[in-house]
Amino acid sequence: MPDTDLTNALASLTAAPPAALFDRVAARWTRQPSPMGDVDVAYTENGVAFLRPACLGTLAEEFRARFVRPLVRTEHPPAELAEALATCDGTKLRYDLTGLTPFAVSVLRAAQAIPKGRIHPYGWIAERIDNPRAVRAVGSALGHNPVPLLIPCHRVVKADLSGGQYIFGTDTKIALLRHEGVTVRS
Amino acid sequence: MSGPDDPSHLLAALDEDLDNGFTALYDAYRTPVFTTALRATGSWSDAEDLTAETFLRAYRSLASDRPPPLPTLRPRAWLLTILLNTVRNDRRGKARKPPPGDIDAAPERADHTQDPARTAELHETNRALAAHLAALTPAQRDAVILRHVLDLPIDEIAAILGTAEGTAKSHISRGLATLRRLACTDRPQTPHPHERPRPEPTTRRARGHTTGPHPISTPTIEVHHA
Repeated sequence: MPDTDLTNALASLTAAPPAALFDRVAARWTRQPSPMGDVDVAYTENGVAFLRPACLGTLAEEFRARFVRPLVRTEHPPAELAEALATCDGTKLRYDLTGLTPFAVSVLRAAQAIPKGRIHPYGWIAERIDNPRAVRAVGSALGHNPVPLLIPCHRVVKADLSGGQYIFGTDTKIALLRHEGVTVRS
Repeated sequence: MSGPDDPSHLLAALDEDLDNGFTALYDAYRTPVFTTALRATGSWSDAEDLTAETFLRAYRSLASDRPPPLPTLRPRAWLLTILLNTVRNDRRGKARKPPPGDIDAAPERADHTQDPARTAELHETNRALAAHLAALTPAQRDAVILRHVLDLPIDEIAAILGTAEGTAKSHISRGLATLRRLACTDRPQTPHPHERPRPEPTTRRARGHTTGPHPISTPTIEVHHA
């Protein structure tokens, strides 16, 4: 093969990666309305990874600390995300809980099983995950829920059925429970 | 394909906003990184994995407490260095596994300016050439890919390979020579008019069989008389 033929043939060996490969490098984020006001949501190819109130402006920083990968805004989020936010029902979504401890994941999975309109105490979660003495640890894991609203940690309350802490604030937690049909006495 | 590289606008974008700047960096260099990964491994799926891993490593480095200094960064050379290090680590990990089997399935770049027969011929040529690249030593293969597939300048290739420019040139030259010999074995041989036909050797040793699939030198027969 003459040199020019060989080098021309080599030059034709370039190949572009598939467009979808970028989704294995970068995650996406979007700003969406919810019953609690605008929220920023980040998701990877494996599912929803973070949800934070838009007014906090902490999504990118928190996402980068946990995932260390680019986060790029998109105007075309999955349709089921908007629907889940509007109805506070994230049971049909997939979640990317990478970086959380197995204990935290089990707590969040247990909280996910609480249907709209129901509440349970922290101890109920502890029993569900076969760790009945870990009530305080359950509270801590729920307090660090990366995907509030969609994984409904607001449906978990103190043993005396008072509100407890919430990333959006205790008043918002009570308003959200009322919105879902729970009777809350003042 | 690549040629001279002026990354100043990309570095400015990275400095202004890491995540959006990184998207521009990915768009600018995804094809040379993926091409190098594909031709160095011969596997489409490995090339996808290695390309994603390369860009993730690059991002982690940029987001770390000790990022590479942007004013002096040569991003193309930097990314390709990360890639080839990743490929080397991957090769070590797969050293005991069989070679990739999906090189024939790797889709080649479509050339819609050619007629179908020419496109098919080009596809065949590319497939054979890609297979021949896999037969080179890793150093020669990487050097040939960087020089003749990506069209990078010698100083950038030397920086990527971590060698002197003379060594990089030597790898390229030897790699090309081997590719030429391998290409010759693929086509029917027509004897040169000035070349006398040689007698066909009869024993396996005399035929010059080596451990590799492609004999790359003319066999020599030694006859010892008692």
